[in-house]
Amino acid sequence: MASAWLDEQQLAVLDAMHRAGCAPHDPRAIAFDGVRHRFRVAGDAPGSRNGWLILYADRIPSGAFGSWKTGRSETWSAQPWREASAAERRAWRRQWAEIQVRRAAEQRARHDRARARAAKLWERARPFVEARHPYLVAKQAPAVGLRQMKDRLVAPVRDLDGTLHSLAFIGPDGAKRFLKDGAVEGHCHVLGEPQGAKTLLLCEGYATGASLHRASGWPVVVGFNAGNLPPVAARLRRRYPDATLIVAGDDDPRTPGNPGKTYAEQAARAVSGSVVLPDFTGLDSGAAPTDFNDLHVLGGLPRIRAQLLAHRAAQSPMRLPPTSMAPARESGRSSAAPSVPATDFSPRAARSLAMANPRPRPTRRGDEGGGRGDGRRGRGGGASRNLYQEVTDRMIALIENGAAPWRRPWDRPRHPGVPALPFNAATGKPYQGINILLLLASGPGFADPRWCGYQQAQARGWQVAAGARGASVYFFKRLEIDADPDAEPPLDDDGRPLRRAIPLLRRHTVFHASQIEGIPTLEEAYGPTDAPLAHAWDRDAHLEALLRRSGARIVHGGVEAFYRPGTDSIHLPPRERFPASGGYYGVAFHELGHWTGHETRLNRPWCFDRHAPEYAREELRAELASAFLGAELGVHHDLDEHAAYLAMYLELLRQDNKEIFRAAKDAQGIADLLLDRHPEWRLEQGACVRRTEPLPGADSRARDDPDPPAVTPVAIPAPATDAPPPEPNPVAPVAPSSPPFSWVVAALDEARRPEADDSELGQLSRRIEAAFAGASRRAPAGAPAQPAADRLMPNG
Amino acid sequence: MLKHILKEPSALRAPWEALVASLDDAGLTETLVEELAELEALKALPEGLHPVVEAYLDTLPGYREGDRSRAAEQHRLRWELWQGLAMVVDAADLAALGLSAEDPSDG
Repeated sequence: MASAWLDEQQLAVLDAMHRAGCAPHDPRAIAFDGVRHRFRVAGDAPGSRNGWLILYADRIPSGAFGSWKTGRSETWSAQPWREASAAERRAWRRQWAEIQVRRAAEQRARHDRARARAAKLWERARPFVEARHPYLVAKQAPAVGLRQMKDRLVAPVRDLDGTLHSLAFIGPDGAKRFLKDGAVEGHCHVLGEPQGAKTLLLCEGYATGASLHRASGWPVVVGFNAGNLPPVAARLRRRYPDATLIVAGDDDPRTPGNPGKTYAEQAARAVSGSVVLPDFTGLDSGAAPTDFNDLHVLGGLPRIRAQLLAHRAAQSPMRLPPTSMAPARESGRSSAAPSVPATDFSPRAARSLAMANPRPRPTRRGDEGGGRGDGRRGRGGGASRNLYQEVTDRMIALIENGAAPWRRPWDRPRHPGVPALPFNAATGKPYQGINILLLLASGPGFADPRWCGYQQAQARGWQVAAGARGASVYFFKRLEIDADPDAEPPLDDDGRPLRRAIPLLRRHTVFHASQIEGIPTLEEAYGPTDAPLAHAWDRDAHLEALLRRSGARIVHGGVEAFYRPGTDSIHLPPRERFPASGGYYGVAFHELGHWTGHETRLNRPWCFDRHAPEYAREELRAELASAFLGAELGVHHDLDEHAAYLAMYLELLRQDNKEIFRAAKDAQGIADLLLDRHPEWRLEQGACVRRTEPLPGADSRARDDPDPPAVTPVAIPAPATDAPPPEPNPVAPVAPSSPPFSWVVAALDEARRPEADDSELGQLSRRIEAAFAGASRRAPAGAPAQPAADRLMPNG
Repeated sequence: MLKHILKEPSALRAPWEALVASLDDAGLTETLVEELAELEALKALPEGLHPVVEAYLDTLPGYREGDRSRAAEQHRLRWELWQGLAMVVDAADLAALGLSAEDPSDG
């Protein structure tokens, strides 16, 4: 009886599965046991297991089935829905919800495993791609962000936060496949830096993206397949609401449904974007070209560029044409997404619409650019994003786009007492390490180094401007957990439960002072710019004093600057070879950065092989330290001639996603040591000695203590004028707790009394100074080069 | 759920999983995912969920002692971890990478 009953249900569900196109190859796969089963779908290849089903033998048998291959899934019940009672419907809904939860969990687990595999394979892949790789040669495409395994190119499949989810492999013949079980939907590979870009291109394939990127210079997002264009476009729109999104679609009218064009239009329609399709007019179309890479190969990059520029120029910033395709244009074929109603689809209008239908949760005015404020939905239970990779990817993109933050021109704030490097306007705390680099990359410049969080601003009565996009900084906080949740926790002396603390790295969003309404101006907070600067290091005497105070042995001669570890000496060309004294000090302090690496000081490893990673590591630290010092001291180190190093830095960062963190930390240590602000070390006779006294004039705890006490505001240096002091401003930002250059006193004293230094070094320095006083001639062209053996740690 | 992202599964998984599973059953996880970051939102959940919510709140450091600020902060950290917004880092990396501790007033 029971068997007959089941047979009947099996036939019923088999019939339904057959209609859905996912009937099992072997009907015995159908089992009403509440367990999910995988099976080979009839017609699929032997060994495949794309079908799934889960069936319950309840009073009303029900369940679900589907195919991972086609993405189709259906629910099934032995009793039609309309005949079911309310209780039966509730039970059925619950069963279906359980199925969904189970499927989602299984898929997450598969994705998690694939993500781990992807990370391992990506690490194993060679970062250096053969320039003559057959695929790249055939496509005339550069390798941007690719790696290579054997003869296959490897493209990372990441989310917009930089987390690696899967890999795409491209064979020499162009055959493509993805890592098994890896998540691709909504993920992509980005060429260029999308942050802050006005125009973003979205396309299907890597070669198409490379051609578009080369032709336009705009950031290009590769979605890997046509069906992935809509979800990637949606994520791009949420992340970059103000960018102009252009979907550069494939166009193959020979394929039924022309999926490239269809999905491109679907993606554009959903995100208020536009579609541009390659125009092959006048070119040899015998090979049935379909995409922009074909256009590149057949017609060259200028043709792509012209088409893109014409398309962008033709796009109305406020309105897209309704319902029909835009007419083909002379220099290209552009289309707005079809079937859109006649209304305003601009990002501005989209925001207005969102405001008209607000979410119940209070919204913030500024866009936090990530985290909870950017509209991304949660993915509870998923793996944590890798914030190290997120930061590293941002730095890589900046370097690739010639925007390395430490290579930006700088100028120190001209208000007395204002630090040169970013600090928090509400707490006065200077940002540290990697956060300095991130804010230098995000800010408008050095003129105002103040930043502030949204809530911090609100607490002070300031207001982040509507639409302001914040910058990301990273802090850690400790998550407290019980060692064993099932047991009573041990207690401390006060009877409180003892817990373990796990550090969590979190991203915060801060806004620049120029984005905050109501924040006092620098003049209001720090006084007028014409007041005497307490840290006027751009005066040569002060720079010289600081240089001398380091205790470094400096030898002048030759035409090259370098540090020689063997003799622990800095070698500089004579000052007369520098066109201006600022150039001399820029180079001198850069070499002084290398000098701090000696084993008696900060003890960094040395390497003399210019092609070795260790060499690049040291150079990166010296470059960063130069930037930090330069901002403080007002000297500039010209790095133009050392662009070759950037390629080495890129490799360092690609190999190790913590390297930029270490480099920023080390560079800050270098700068702090030379500026006598290092929390642990100070220089004495050119060697490091452990600091036993607190930092001069500073609350050193505020810098590195994991749980810093409330910051005591430091008085803003009073201008040396007869003017009465300004009235205290109750909402003024506190002055930085980092010492506003208290160490200046010692060095200034020394500068005023150079004759007080009777050491051998002091005498030598004065002789040099006397010999070259007033000289500021450009180094003669063709001057003899330093012997190669001396070029140990060059000025770079 | 947390077992995927936390290497200390026994500490958090049980209470948090119980809560999230209950929310899943009630069909609330997707719609309330952002609101769940706030401790107060948990208390506003339907009455049928109160027992599991209370059990969860009891596991939060500071909650029993009445330190709501600490409890809310710890809950937020759990939520961020669950959401993938925060990342567990090796304690040794704090100094090696120069990572900064968050100021209590940061935000």
